[in-house]
Amino acid sequence: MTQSAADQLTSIIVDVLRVPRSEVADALDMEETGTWDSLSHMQLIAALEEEFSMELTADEIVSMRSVGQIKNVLRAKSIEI
Amino acid sequence: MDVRDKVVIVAGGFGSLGTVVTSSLLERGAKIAVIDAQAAPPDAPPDVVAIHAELADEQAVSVALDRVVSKFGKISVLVNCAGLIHSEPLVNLTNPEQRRHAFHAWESVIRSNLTAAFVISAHVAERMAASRTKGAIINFSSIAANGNPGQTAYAAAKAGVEAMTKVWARELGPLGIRTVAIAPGFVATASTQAAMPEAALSDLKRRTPLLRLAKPAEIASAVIFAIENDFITGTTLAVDGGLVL
Repeated sequence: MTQSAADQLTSIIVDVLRVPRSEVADALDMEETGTWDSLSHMQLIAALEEEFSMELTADEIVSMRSVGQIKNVLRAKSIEI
Repeated sequence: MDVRDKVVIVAGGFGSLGTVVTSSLLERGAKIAVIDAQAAPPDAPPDVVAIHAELADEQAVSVALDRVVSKFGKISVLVNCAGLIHSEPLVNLTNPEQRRHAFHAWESVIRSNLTAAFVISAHVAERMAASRTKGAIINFSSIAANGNPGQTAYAAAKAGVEAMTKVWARELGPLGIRTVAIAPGFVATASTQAAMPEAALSDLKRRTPLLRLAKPAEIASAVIFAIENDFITGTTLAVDGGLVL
């Protein structure tokens, strides 16, 4: 069975930010997540680009400060999530 | 990474080692831009784009990199060859005019060997990250990083280069950017011959397990290896004939 885009995103966030899968929700954001800093943010970007075979713009990278905002950007790129 | 058709910047590429590194990369089909504070020599390879810039000057480096990108496109590799060797003891009571290591010499050596590598690497890494270019940054350390007596500033700068190499490996590795330092021992170049008396060179050779100085091509070969091996990062390759053992 292929993973849904939401599952793929959750797996990336768990791997990169080292947060429990149960804590991954739209409200999870940079401000409140100690492991989500500028370095891990770039790792997140690299992982998302590879997983979803797309390239994010500088503005998109800056805007993706929560899981919900990441989903919004992915939806804008026609990824069903 | 195969360097063929890759854009490689050799910072300090007109120095004694930089020239050999540049030639080796050209032989392998890389597109080379040399950014150097010294002007291109008359015998510089015609295929090389020569850009005159002070490497510790952020503005000058930014302008130089804009030129490289507009000429060749994405930068894949940076080799930091620029440097300045300086020997001076921390204290010299026999010199009443200068009993302590000169501060201006300290600043100059740190600027040439450490600040320059920091500035251009930061600019190149920013561009690599922004353009999602996987690549490599190769720094030049030295056996002096282990604490050569009489080389406070140079040793500190090179130890700093090794530390930056490790930091960048951790920060940039997830983006596919590798960083490696090369630490040559004494190399048979005109500058080495000029800087050291024959007796000191003979003593060095005697203390080196391989009983000779490095050939410049052997240092360039280490640079090529560091670029081409995609699973090496954050380390310092000693190319010193076993002198530091």
